Amino acid sequence: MNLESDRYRSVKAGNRLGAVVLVLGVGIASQFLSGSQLALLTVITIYALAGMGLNLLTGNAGLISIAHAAFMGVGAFSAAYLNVNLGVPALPSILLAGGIAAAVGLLFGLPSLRLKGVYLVMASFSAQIILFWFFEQARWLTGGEDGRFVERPIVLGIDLQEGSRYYLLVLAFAVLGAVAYANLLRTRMGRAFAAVRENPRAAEIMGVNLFRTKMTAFAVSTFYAGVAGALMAWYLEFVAIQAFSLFISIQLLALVIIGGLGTLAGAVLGALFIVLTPELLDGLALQLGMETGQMAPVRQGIFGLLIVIFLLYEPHGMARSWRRLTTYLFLKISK
Amino acid sequence: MDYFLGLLINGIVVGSIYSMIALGFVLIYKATEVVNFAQGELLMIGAYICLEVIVTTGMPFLAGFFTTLVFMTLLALAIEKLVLRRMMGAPVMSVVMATIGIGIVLRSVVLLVWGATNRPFPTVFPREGLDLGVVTVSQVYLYAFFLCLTFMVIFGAFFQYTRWGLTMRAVSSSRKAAESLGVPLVRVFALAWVISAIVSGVGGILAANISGLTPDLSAYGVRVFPAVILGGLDSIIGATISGVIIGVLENLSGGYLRNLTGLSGLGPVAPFFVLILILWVRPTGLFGRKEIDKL
Repeated sequence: MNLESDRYRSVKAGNRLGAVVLVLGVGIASQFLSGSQLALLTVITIYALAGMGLNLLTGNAGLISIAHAAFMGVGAFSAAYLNVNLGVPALPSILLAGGIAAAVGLLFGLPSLRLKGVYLVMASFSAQIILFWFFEQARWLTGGEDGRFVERPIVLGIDLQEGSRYYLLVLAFAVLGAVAYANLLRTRMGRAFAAVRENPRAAEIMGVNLFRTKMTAFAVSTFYAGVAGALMAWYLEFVAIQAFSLFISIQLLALVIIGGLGTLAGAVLGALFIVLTPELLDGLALQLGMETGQMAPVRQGIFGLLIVIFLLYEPHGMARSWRRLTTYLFLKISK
Repeated sequence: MDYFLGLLINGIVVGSIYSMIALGFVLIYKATEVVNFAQGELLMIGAYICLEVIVTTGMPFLAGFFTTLVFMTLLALAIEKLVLRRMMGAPVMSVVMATIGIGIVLRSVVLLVWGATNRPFPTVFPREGLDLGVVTVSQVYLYAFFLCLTFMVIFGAFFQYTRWGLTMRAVSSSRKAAESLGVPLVRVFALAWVISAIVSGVGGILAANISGLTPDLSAYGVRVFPAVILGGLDSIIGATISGVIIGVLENLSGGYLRNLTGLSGLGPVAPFFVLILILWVRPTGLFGRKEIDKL
């Protein structure tokens, strides 16, 4: 028994060491990558951050959202407006953008906080439709259908025009987000998330304030989305509203479900999956000499199929497979 | 006044198609507790199949229509058996995601086979206007409206008077009780999917007759959400009436609000404001059961 728990502890320590090595490795590697590789890495890291936020809400608190791309959009355009139009420094703009996204998220989360899953699906879907419509209309903010330019900021006196330098800012936020995620789950509120997800009635009887818990989950989750959106806007430099469409919201939801609900590793693995699968399929299609016109629907179809296959055969997501694999390897080596 | 009546009638006709699709949605939800995000794609694929059958084989419309319904039945059975039956008891979000995945696959099949261009639907119903005294209405609208009405009456009778209709109502009122009394749940689930696919197919064909056929037709699938919530999510009557209300609302707000507010594209968005509003004030909708789990 003791041996088992010792082993478990060493697996955990191994995971933590692995995470540190991963972050350092990615940080160093990012400085030497080619332009297109760096672009992929940046998008993966930003989606991982947004995925953590959605995973807190969906995986940990059990509340679904089909509007996280729209909340990212709120963050993106808020940060752009604050930084470019109003001249607010970059770091406060990012945090304010997260705050604004959280406020909007609460607005749409509120009506469904007293209701069960299906209503939340509907409410968040409406949020996506309404917010996207707002992006189309608010030309002063988003440039409407033409999109808008967002200049990359100077952070603490460092010019981030260079993609590899900008990536370090993105990575820093992703690491902060990951550390906050892992620690939040160990707090009273984090435990309350799990209690509400497993059985809301029992949680309430045991003294968990349902309303406050769900509100917190929504606020924190949409704050993550807002920050990720702000980082996305600066990464893209030219921001089209399509970057925050319904399809992206669906991708984010697929990210957390395929990656692994309620786990940090799930958000990261899911982001890898969401960004790299289309790339790999494109590469494959090129190898097979397919016409470019046919590629898009094939890619989408395979993506849809993969979602269904994952749900059927690995409902706990890639994080579960990953943990199985690493634990197995670790125990094998430590023997 | 003519403008108003035109919008109103257009709204009622589109609304009756919404009603029918909403019926399919509510049906699946009541019987299987699945929120079906693939409904719009089912509807789109139904319309494409019908068009293909009519154009390539030269069948008369009615034969093509029924061939489509047979195809929809098989498709629904396949989806139910291959995916959703295996996901019984999975969390809501996984099931939602599965139907989204199915929708994406169906959509890509349509894009691969038929492409994204607008295909005109062969003239099945005469388009000439029919003078109703106060206003002239295109005949295709009237046909669509009465076909929807007919289908809804047929399904109403099915639920009220047949053994399987009764069985389905039993399952939706209490799954556990029905199962312990020997109701074959699996068959009820399959039947719910079949009926839902059939009404989607009919809705798709009618919608394509009115507005032409592109993959964008799948938008109908989500445009019924407000109707479903307004009707109370678990009420078939509610879904039927709310479908028409939402159709009218959509057309009137599309026709008038633009000049009033200076904002464009409010037509399709207005119902979603209503949806949020309903969830704020009266989540049970107009006809929903009061005993909603307030958690």
